[in-house]
Amino acid sequence: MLQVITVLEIAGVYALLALGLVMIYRTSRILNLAQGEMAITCAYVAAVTTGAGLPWIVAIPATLATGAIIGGFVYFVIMRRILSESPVVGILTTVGIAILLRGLMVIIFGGETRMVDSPFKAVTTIAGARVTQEHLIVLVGSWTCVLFVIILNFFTKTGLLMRAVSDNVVLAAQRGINIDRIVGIAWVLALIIGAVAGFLHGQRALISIAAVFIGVNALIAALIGGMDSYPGAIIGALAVAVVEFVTTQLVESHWAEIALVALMLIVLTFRPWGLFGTVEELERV
Amino acid sequence: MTRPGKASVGRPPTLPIRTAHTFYLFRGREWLWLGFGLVVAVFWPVIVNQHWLHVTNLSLVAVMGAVGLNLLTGNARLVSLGQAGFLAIGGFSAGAMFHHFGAPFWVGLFVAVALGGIAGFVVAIPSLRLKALYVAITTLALHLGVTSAFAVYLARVIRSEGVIVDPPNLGFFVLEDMAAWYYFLLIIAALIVIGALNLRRSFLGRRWVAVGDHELASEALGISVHRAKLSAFIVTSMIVSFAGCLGAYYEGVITAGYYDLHLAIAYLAMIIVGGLGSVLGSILGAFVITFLPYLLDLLIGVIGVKIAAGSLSGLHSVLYGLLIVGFMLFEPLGLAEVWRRLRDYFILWPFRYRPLEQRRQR
Repeated sequence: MLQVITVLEIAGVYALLALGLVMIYRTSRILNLAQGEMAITCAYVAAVTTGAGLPWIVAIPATLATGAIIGGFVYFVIMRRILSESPVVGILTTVGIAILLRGLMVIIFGGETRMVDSPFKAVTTIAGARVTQEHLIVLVGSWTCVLFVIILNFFTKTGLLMRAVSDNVVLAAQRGINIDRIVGIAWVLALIIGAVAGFLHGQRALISIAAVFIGVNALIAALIGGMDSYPGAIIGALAVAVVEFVTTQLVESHWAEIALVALMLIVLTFRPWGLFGTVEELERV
Repeated sequence: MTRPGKASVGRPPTLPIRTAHTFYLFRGREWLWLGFGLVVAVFWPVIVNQHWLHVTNLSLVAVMGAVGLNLLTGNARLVSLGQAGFLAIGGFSAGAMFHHFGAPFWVGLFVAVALGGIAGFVVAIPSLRLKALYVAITTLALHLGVTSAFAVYLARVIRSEGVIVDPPNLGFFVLEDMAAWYYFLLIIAALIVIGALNLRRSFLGRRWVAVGDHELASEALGISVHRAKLSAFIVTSMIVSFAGCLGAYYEGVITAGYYDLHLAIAYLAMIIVGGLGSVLGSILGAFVITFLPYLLDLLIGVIGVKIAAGSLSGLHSVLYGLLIVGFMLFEPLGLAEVWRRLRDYFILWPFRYRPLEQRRQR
């Protein structure tokens, strides 16, 4: 039972990041290699605000606002100018943003290892497993947020517009959809859920520069599931979490990354569009 | 612009200006520049002190790596995040050959290049089926795999922080002196640069550019995309592995920590700042990015601000990031394009544009 809870916890965090990646990719066709850095920057903000003794009611909005500001800045100042360029330009720019954020984290937060303080430390027992409430918060928080993204995408007008843009940009523009606004909203939302992921990751692990690996794992999850599929991202996140947990338990944490990479390569060799991605994707570009 | 060639007997028709650069490496005034550069290069160890000579040597190694990466990422448009991994393969294979078999420099170099080629082949196989975008991820996978493997190798087999190699013995003298290294690296880098310039004009290089520009179109024109990608990965990773081996011998010690993702991104910064797809750009970018941290340290020393060592490395990262993003936004063709414009400005002054007939692309 404890194992199941742990896996679901990890999967929840990865799923949030992977959903953000998919959201960005579907609307703007940019593979955001800086997702991990962005999430950890937000997590640092969470660590600083809670470390200063502020309650969660202040810390959470501050973290989410950081995510929104990063997302808005990155899209409206940088990405928007290069949307029409070749995909190579987009991916290299996100690499630049990633290294920029790493440097900023070192300068602003000293690159130290920090933790997000939590008022919930009590231990509860669920089905025979003793779990601290921190972990339960990660579990419930992440999957609620995943549910929120799914609802947003499939049952709201914004979600409809975003799906329209991802299906056919030109047609969407001709039907009077403000592409710029929709893509901007997607970036900001993706970064907000990235901030949630960063905050929750801070609940179950320490925050440091090295923690940006969650971005790589989320990328692997999104690629396994298919870069343009929300359900795929969630399934991919579950797969990544299971593989990571099992290899860490059986061998050592060093091999988890290698196992994940191997899993990704196997999936991509046989289904380059991912488990749930659309095939046309590959032929159009 | 095609000029009507004179169809006189005994003399080949004039080459169309546009394609002339495909047949000559350097023309006219470029030989003059080259001569000037050569004089400066020969006297460089006299001009600068040991510290800056060391930085120059590092830049020369970086030139080789950047030329390789630029052929792959700039010309064939396959974004590689595995640069540090390929460099590590070069370094560690040379180190392991020396450590276990006491192999001489040349053998280590040969093994490094061979292993680099094999690794390039292995990475290329999944990338054949993938979109160009995903190649970044497979090369990242190579990076993670290789660096983890070498960390394990160091911990289990060597049982130390790094592998130490002796200064290479070239047969007639031993490369120990900084200036000797400088001349050696200069010659090798020049050979690699000329090789890359020629490679780009060969059937291989032009296929890479074609596949990089448009896969479907080049497939339709009868180019085998698979073979082009495979050869691009193999050849460039051999070059990079070669550079990694030389760099490792230059440092004298090979550690796993050196080959991190930061190094791969620094190389990407080089080719972006220099100019994607341009050999001149690789050279300019390699020098700029290698010198930048040292110049920054110098500047900070001159101003007299005290900065903790930790935030200094952060500052370097921020600078790299700003350079990558800035060049991507404002000058995607990099310093090579800036240089070309500047040169045209001075050559053409007081006019602003070249006459149409003389325009050529490089």
